[in-house]
Amino acid sequence: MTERHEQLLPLARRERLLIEKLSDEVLVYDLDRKKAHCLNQTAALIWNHCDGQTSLEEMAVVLQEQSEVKVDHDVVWYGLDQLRRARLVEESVAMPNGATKVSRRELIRRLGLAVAVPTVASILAPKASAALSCVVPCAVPANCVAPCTICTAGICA
Amino acid sequence: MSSGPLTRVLSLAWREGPEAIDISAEELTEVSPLLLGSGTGALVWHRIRNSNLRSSPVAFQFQQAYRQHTLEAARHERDIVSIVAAMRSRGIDPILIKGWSIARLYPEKGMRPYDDTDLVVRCNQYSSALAVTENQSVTEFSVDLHEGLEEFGYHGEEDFFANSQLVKLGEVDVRVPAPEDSLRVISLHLLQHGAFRPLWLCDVALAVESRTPAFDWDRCLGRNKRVADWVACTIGLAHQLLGARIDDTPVKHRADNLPSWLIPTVLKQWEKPFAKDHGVARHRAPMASYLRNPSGFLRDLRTRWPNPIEATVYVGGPFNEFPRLPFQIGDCVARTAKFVARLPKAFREAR
Repeated sequence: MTERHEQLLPLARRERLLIEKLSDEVLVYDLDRKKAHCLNQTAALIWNHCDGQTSLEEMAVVLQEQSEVKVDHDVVWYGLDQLRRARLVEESVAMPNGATKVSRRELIRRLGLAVAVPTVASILAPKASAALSCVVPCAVPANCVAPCTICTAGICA
Repeated sequence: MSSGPLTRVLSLAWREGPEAIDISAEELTEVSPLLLGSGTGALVWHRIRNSNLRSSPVAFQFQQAYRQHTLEAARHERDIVSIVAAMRSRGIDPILIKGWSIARLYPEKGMRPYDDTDLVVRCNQYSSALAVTENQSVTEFSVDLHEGLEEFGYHGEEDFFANSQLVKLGEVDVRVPAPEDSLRVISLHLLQHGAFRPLWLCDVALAVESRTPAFDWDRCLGRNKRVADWVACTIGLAHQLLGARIDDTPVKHRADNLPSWLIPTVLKQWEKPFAKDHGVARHRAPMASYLRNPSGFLRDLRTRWPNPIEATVYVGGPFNEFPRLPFQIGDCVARTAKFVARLPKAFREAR
């Protein structure tokens, strides 16, 4: 199984994504699917190392160096699976035969620290009309009243 | 300073490191629909993330708002770069007002949401600019094009354009108003919409506090004394309701002595800080439709009754201690006259 892990070199998807790095997480907006995701530090670290050159074993070593808990490739697998579900890795990262699928609960139990478990959470898509001053649909300018008197693209502006 | 839970949460929230917050988790939960629904969720997260309230159940919603607005801002910035580049390629140099031009002053880009791009173009370039916005498919959000600046009390555009500034956004230099003009525009915009959105007052507070020593108050307030007083009163609202620092400004005296009806009016508006309850959004149907089908006319008339602030500004009245009723009636009369004057054209267009 270790051999197979070493052969797998995941590649992060970078096209058509908007990426915002915050102090303790990374936000990603998928322009194609119009979905927003929030990667915690562990997931972001795995994603950053999906460069098509780093094996799972190497990722586990990097994670191990940057956290105070013991990290094995199950953790990396779990993170990759999360990234795969969010379509943030280039190709489907299939779990090799014989690899065990661990649950989030199992990982928390093993690591003893919930924040160390890689998490890719969805963020509800922003509403487009939350802060508009003028939001009334119109067919002709007479439908609009001040201060939004111009009927443009079907909306009083 | 007014001490309701909503104003206490938002007070000084625009600052880099806001002071400790004096509000209970219960109070925060109680006002959370108003805060989240009116676009101040990210500001609240900025306010509470280093406090004990961070672990309160309602805090997650504010954090989500902050995340949403951060990504939304990134999407808007792409739009701005695209539309400004498209305009420039046709020889149009627009000025971006409100929205990003004020959001960029906040400590983080996700703190201040906005939903469209407001561009002011010279009157003689308006039709070309409109063609650009209508024919382009590069922007994700809507572009709100303004023809000149009369709605903000400017009688000429030359001076406004001459004093504008270029600010870097990615690979593009975006033209924004001079800080003096920006403060004037956001103050008048707030009043024209009856001050219903608390976020707009945070913008005013931020614009006042982020000004440089070279800030030209004469330019900001302008020559028209009435408009200057409106702007001064708006700054006064930011001071009295949200704690904006105004000690060293020429409007301090006025800011400390606002008309007695002004703050209660704003606080009443903030009980419903959602766009759907204000402006034309609250109307049930276009007035012209009642000519054919009068049912519901009287009920709709009630929803069109203007608030004292927007009525006073609409008819160009003073912010003094006199009752606001005459201005509200004047507002209705003026709007009705405008409606009647537009009827023939509306009929022609409807045919």
